[in-house]
Formats: sequence, structure tokens, C-alpha cells
Amino acid sequence: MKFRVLVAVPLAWALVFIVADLLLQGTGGYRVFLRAEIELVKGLALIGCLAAAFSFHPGEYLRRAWLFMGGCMLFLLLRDLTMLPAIEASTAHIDLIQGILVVLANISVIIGIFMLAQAWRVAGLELPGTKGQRWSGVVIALLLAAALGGPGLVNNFVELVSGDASALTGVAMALGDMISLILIAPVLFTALALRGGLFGWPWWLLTASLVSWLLYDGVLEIGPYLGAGEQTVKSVSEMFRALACMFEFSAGLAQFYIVRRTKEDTQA
Amino acid sequence: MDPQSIADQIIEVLEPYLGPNNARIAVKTFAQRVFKRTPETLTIGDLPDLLEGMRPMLRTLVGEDSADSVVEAIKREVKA
Repeated sequence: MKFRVLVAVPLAWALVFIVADLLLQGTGGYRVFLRAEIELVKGLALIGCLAAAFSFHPGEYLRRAWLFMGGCMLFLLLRDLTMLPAIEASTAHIDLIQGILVVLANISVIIGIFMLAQAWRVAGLELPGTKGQRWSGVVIALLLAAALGGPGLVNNFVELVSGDASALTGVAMALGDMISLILIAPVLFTALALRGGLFGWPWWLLTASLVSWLLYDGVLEIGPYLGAGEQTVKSVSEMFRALACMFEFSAGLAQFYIVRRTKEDTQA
Repeated sequence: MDPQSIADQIIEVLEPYLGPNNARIAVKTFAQRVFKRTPETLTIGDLPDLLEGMRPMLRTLVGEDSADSVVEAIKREVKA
């Protein structure tokens, strides 16, 4: 397995997405295309996480971490299922149910990323750089997260407090995004610690996924202020969502192949 | 030509997996943790205890089966 393929696949997917998006904009099939593409990348991210998780034995640290990562995608897919018109129209308190699913998804991903970001500590490895350099990385990530996720969090929180239950989804998503973005720094440091080695690949690809989420949020928050039209913001942000999910898919597959290849390489 | 030290041989096996930086740090860390010694002082007799010390680290990163496989590879490759 050439690990560079796992980098190329998300990039190729994003390229195909851009072309298809441009071709289908304004047509009757555009909404279906967009919805199908979103569900497909989430489904692939879930498959990647499950492949990674089940390459470990029950109870092993990274199995739990990858199951939490996959849990996020599972809850999001369930939430999306509740958005089908037939389900949405026939279910009471649908906003609340959707909100709860998004909260669960965000709790799950935060635990998953946190565990992956702490794997070096659990393993007893050392991170590169001084403590000061590592804290600087966390502070930069914190500032970026606050800048990109803060306004959305405040707006949704105000709406939630004023009685709009559907704003729970927005609060959970903004909070989840912010915490995930802060965790970019320790995930990146783990990747740097393992640079040049096979074991570093899942962390590099996960970093790429988290950076793609950062850019997804960035386009949604900053795009309109830069004069980008509604359609442009939508298309570009969806491209970054696709990249984020596909890099997560690749990270999971990388983990799966590493566990397998390490065993194969080292057997007599 | 000088024979490779025990530490260098272990690093050589670990390097493709942990990367050059962490392979070196791992051997240094576990030599210190298990024996309270520097890696240069490791002997072939220290290998079993050192590898037992390193096993949990490898298990965390690649699971029990692959970790055991790496440990066996080190035992096979490292010579006095």
C-alpha cells in the first residue's frame, strides 16, 4: 500500500467535486448531488474509522479512540436520516432529536481526537520542541478556533436561551468545531514526533482532516465578508467538508494498513 | 569497522516505524526508565527487559499482535 495514495485520493475527490459542482449548479439535480456527496463522504469517513478501530483488539487504546471518531460520523448520519421529509414530518420534537444527535456526534469526536492527540503520552513517547513551542501551537490553535467558531457559538447560544430548540444543533456544532480545532496542535505535534516513520501517517492525515474542517469553518465565517457570493461560499465550504471527511477516511485506512503491514514486515 | 552498538541496532529496527527521531528517543527513554542508564551502555543481556519495557508503547501504537511481532523482530535482528 502506497501511503501517498491516501493523500492523493482526498485531493482527487475534491477536484472531481469542484468540477461536478460547477457542472450541476443551477440544475434540478444539484441539491440531490450535494446531499448524496455529503452523505457519501461521511459514510466513507465512518468506514475508515471502523477499519482502523477493528484492526486493534477489544480494549486497546487506539481501538477506543477510532470508535469514538467513527461514532461522530454515525450520529451525524443518523441526524441526516431524520432530515428526510417523511421522517421530519412524522416525528414529534424533531429539532430536539436532531440537536441531541449532533451533541452526541460532537462529544464523540472530541473524545476521539483527544485520545488520538494523547496517544504519544499513553505510549510514553516524547513530543518534539520545547514546552513553550508546544504551548504556542496550542494558543495559536485556540485563537483560530475562537475567531472561527466563536461568533457562531455566541449567536446560536443566544437563540437557544431565547427558546429556539433548533439552535442546540448550532451550539453543539460550533463548540465541537472549536474544541476539535484546538486539538489540531497536539495531533500535529504527534505527527511531527513520528515524522519519517510509518506510524506517523494516521496523525498526518488526521491533521489534514482537521485543517480542512478549519478551512470549512473559515470559508463559512469569513467568505461573506470577503464579498464571496452565497453559491461560492457553499461550493468552497462543501469542498473543504469533503476533504475533511476524505482525509479522515484515509487516516483510518492508514491506521488499518500500518497495523497489518507492521505485523507482516516483522514476521520471520 | 566497529560493530554496531546494541542501541543502534534496536534503533535501526524501530526507525521505519517510529521515524529516526522517535526511534532514538524511545531507546534512550526506555534505557533510562528500565535501567537508569544511557543507551550506549546497553548490552545484549539487557535486551529482554528493555523490550518488555517498550512493549506497552508499541501496543498502544499498533496493537498487541503487531507490537509482539516488532519485539520478536528486534530479538532476531540484534546481535551481541
